[in-house]
Amino acid sequence: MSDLKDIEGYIARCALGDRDAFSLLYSATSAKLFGICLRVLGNRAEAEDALQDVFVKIWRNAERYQVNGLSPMTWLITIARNLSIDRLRARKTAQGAGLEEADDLASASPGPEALAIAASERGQIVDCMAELEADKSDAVRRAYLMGETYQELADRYSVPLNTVRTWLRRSLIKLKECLSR
Amino acid sequence: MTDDSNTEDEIVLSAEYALGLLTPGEAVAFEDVLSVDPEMREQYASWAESLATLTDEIAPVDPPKALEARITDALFGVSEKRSFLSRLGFLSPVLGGLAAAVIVLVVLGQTNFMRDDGPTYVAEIVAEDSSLIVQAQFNPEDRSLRMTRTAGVPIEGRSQELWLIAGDAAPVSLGVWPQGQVEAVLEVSAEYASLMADGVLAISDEPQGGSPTGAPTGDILAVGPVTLL
Repeated sequence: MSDLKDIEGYIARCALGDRDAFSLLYSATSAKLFGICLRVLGNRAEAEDALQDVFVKIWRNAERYQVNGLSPMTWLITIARNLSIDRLRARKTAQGAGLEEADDLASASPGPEALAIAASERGQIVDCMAELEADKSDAVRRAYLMGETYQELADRYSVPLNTVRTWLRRSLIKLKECLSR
Repeated sequence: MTDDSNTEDEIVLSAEYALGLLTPGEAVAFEDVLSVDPEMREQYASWAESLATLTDEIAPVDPPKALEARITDALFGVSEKRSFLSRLGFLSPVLGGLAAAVIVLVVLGQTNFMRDDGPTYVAEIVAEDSSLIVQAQFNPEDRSLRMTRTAGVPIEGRSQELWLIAGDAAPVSLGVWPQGQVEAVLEVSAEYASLMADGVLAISDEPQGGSPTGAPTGDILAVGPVTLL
């Protein structure tokens, strides 16, 4: 398994048009990203198409990675997750927002300090989710991993739309407090 | 107090955006804020980092072997000589059977195409299993390439594209087989006409209308060397 420095290096070389680096990046990360596509879409053929979109996007947007402030795996995971969810929603013709651009827009350059904070948050979310009530953390997980919208969550928990919105927002603030501890 | 509630709004909005919970209109508005507000970007990046770790529980799954080639073909085309020649793995046996193929071609004799003046080049473009056979005849005089398909039909909704491979060069497209026709006549450019004598003709399976990349993207269905009649 390549470490994050390697992966960051591959992305940087992809930005310069280095196809060998693209191949190395594919070898290092495709299984992880395919696992995510497969989990979200639950269908092998669709997951394969999604993974193709993911790597096409990685190659084309590699030059933007350097300024986007995300750690390399987060950037890759976010692309895989968002493109898969977009596909899933297109299938469901749901009304959630398109996520395709989300990973492009985080163009803050947080510097080493913020990156260190971000790194320390990794692994914490599981503990912090455990501090939420079970259905609240379940809702966060469903939104992230299954692309469920407020409406779908409201239907799932049989509560009015505004109620689900209110309690999920509260949960997100709680989660953030825990993550920032 | 105002600061706190502002911060809470920022936290919630960036989380909702990262989770994809905003409506399309809200998401666009949030992206406008993101593009000008570094604190909001940092807030979003922080959520993205945290949420990405939710995928730690997802086990890696090796994608099918062929997918990487599909992706690199989509991105880079099949311009690399090596990868193209490797797809022509069955060319050698075809070349081996060259003499026989030419004799068969002459006997099958697309005689209606034959001309008396000048040299004429021919090729039998044939699939390994003979599921597709195209007889081709090239007249350097008017650079016309006349072809007759004697076996095989294109897959519904797909096109067949004709390629010329000269020596080690990457294949160049001579055109897409006209839909629904058994015979086709193509005019070959002067540049490519000069390469015809020692060339190899190949037919690939492509999306309707032909390869989007300028290089073969689908399976190579049939190949045949060009020879002087």
